[in-house]
Amino acid sequence: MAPAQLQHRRTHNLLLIKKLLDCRDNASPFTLVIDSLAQGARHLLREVIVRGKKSKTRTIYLSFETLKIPTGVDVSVPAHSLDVQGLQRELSRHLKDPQQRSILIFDSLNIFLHYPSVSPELPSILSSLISPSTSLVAVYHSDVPVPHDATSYSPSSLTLLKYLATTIITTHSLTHVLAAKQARQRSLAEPVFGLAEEKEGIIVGLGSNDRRGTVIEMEYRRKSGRAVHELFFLPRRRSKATDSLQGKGAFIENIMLLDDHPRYKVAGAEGFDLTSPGAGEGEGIDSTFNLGLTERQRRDREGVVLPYFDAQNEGGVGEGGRILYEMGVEDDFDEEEDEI
Amino acid sequence: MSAEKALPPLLTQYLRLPPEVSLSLVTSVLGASANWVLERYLIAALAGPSRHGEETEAGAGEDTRVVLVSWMSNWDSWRTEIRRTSGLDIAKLAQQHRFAFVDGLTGLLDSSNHRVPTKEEYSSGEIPIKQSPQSIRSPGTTPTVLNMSPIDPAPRKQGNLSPGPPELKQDSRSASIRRPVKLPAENGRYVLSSDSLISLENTTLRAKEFVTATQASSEDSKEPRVLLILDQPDLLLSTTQDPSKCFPALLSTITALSQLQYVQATVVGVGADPHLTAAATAELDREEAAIRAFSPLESHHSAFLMSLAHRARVVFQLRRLESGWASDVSGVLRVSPGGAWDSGDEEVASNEGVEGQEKEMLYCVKADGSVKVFERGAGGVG
Repeated sequence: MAPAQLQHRRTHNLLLIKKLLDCRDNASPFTLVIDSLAQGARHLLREVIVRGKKSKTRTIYLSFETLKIPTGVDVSVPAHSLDVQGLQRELSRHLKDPQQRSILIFDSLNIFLHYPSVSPELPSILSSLISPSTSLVAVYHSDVPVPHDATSYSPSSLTLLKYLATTIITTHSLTHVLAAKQARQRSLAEPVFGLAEEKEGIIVGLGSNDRRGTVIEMEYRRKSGRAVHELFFLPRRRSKATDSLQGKGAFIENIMLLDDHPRYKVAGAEGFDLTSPGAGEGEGIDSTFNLGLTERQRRDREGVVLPYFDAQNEGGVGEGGRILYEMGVEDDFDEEEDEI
Repeated sequence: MSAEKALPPLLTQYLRLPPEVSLSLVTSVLGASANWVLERYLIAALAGPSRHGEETEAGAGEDTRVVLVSWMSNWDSWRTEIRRTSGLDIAKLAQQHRFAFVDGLTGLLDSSNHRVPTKEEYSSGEIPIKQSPQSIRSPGTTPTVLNMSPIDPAPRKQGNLSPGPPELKQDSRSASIRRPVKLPAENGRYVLSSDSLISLENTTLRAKEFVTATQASSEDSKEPRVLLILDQPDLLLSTTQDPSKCFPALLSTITALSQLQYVQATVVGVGADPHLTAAATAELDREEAAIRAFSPLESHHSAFLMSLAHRARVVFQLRRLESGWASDVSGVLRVSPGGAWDSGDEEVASNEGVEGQEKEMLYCVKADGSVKVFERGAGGVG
């Protein structure tokens, strides 16, 4: 990839993801975070909370499955003990003030979908929560089955959520991403982890929930409908030690493009890129032959009509055999041979 | 001491109680039972004070009590097994209010009570407690007002949590009379009278009250810490008639139980056999057709299992040896960080090291109940 293009991506996409994680200017009203046991979304949610605190946005945390609410949350709602109506009442109480910007965090949509009467009405429930001052960040565990009415024609919940979301963030483990890249470089099948291994008794793969940080795959949908796709790496924050060093409230911007991650760069040599596969194709083959074509050779080759095209033209079947030969200048016409 | 010997050195770091409220998941498959891991958790918690009598730093010597809810074995088998492996007598510990046992198996399929509470009934608290008032207000326990943990400011079923005698309906009184085993509550043994989740929650609550009851009288100000062990609650999914109602309610019951006051850690043992996880695997691959083909039990069990794994700080996965049977290896134990391993950065600096590190080990359960845990390739030495 050209360095200028990378630089361009770096500036634009980093700005974009920062805007998304900050939930600034209502950049994405509904962010869907798809995680799995390979890399949970907790770290990402904490990052959203930290950034919310920095930008003085109120964070409302709906805990369906979190036992210990992360620090820095302004309002926590014990959603696991409420039913849908109770939840809506509780939320409308917190979202009264339209001036106050808030981020609503669902720590798991899967359990929510199991509530009676939620599954079919999910779009209306979710959109009732979104307002110009409120954005929604919801986690969906891709490996937890949710109920689906087999008789109905309605799409599955995940399909629906993906359709509704303005941004889809998928989390990956750095270990797994590096292993997959290395395998690709050697044209090997990419390794699978966890449940996908389909080994008896394994639900969490080796290298899951990487301690170094989270690989984030972002798909941001612009208003025009065009999607921006990018991979980032979000390192873990070094807790209190750094806090006390920097003074309270110091905030270090640490998200980077995955391509800039030192380990990822090493894992893949030049010319292979996840976002545009095949960019480096045809280059870098060392041989004494010239395998390429010149422009003229290529045009000539395209101009050749292959015999089976001709056979399809007229009659075709049942017309008998024909010899198709166009004489070149160097050919010597032999009459005797023609008479045979 | 033999209790100390019963704990494999490689595992001790994982069996220590975590610094904060958390959940651990132990998955097993047919042929690689999770029983010994749960036992080791129990032994590590109960043998604690005698082991760390001198060094009380880092909470190691703190008073830990255990509530064991088992759907797989009864009191006698647990008692024999634990005495055999560690020399600890759980009956004696129960007398000291350090251990309580809830039997989920014996009364589970009591034919007088087959109705499953729905989620609505469950959350509105319509279902009364199916225990006799005498057993709820036992003379040994002081009737203190129960406190939910501060995380849960609005506990549902406030009425049911009050220690006063609950209003009993006609049918539930007959159910309580027909309970197969009637035990006085002071000895720390309880029996779940049905598969209702309300009775599970209330009985566990009383068991927890029982183990923390001595706290009020003792003069030291140290708070007791309770380890809650749930042995195969997934049995409830297969015994109820409507698993789709049962599974989210069971999850929220487990969440509520693990957030009770003093409950420091919850350990849940669940089966993870291939057919029980197949629905989750298909979900991951987005095989739409395959997802629909699963039976309700399959999909709910795997949803239950995966949801727990997402809540867990650490996941112990037991499986058989891939290469087949061996006389000196019973199976493989993989310890992985679960979905909630990273609950905050505060403790990262201190804990970044051994605790929660993923690891794969081999284990061997011997005939005398002792367990050897060793790295791959390090077996056969002893």
